[in-house]
Amino acid sequence: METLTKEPKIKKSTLRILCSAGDRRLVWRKESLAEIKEARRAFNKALSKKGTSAFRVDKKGEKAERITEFDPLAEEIIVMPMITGG
Amino acid sequence: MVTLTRPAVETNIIFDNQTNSTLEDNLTQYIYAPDTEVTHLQIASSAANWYYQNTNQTTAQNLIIHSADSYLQVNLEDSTATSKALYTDNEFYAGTGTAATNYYNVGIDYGSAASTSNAIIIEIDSTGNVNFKPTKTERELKRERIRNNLIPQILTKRFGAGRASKKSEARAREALRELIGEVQFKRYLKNGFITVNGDSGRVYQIFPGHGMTKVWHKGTLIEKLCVVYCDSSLPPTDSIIMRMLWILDSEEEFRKQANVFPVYQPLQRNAA
Repeated sequence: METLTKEPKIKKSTLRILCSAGDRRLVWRKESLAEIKEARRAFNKALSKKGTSAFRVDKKGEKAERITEFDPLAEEIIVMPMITGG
Repeated sequence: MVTLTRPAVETNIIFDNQTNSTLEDNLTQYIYAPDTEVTHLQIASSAANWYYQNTNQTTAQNLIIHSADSYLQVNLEDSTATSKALYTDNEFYAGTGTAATNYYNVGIDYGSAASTSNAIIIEIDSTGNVNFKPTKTERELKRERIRNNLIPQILTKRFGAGRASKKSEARAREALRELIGEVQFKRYLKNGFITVNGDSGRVYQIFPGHGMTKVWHKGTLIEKLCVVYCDSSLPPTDSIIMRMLWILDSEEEFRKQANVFPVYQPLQRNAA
């Protein structure tokens, strides 16, 4: 009987930058230094704007933690613009 | 889907060479050019792969692909598979186009929210130029829009989230769906809010846009919190994501950011 073997699924992480267009997304693989470098650059650029905050989120959306530095091992990072009391 | 005829409609994709190092810099230089011909994209001999070859330039170059279609995702990778920078959806950036001999395989696939109406046809003429066009004609797209408008709405006591009228709102909802899961997301569409349980035992009822966040404790509404983006151009559902993440991180921090409106409870009279 023929057995089916699945290729291991490559885990990708997502950087999501909320903006007026909804969001901008950047995907990186933890194994690729070039992709991490790109993601880190985008993260730093987004976070350099005044009042911007970033959160590391798990894929289930049950935990969120505010971060100030890029975490290449994060499953998902969401960067959002400045907020204020309404 | 690949055909070998020249398109008769406008393209919605731009291929361009850029020398700048950051995505944002490149994006600001975009000039939307309908029916752009891509002379430097060539068909591989196998016709299964598409090669981008930096034949015209000798200096470092980056290939930028921009799509007006929000769910289109273009994958571009080095033929050596050693490096790949991938921006999904309508922005894509390959950061390693360094030499004239570098090849990239170009493929098209679609995000999770894609439907066939978002697909495009890629057409290659006899000289190897590449053009793009939607898979559906304008007439077909119009009929589809009308058909979608005829979907009956579910009548409930509450107002639901309503139809996503803008593309940005649709993207924000997609992001929320990926965050909170299908069940919670459907509940949001139906009720128009989501609930988040704080570590303190309080339950936060979060509404989109400028809606105040209601704080419940043991079934009683105790206060309302108002937190908004300084930039009002963000879609309403992005506000939900923002409030949810702040609450999950730290309820106290969220409360500090907010304007707090206490809810006055009616006096409890002793029957005795």
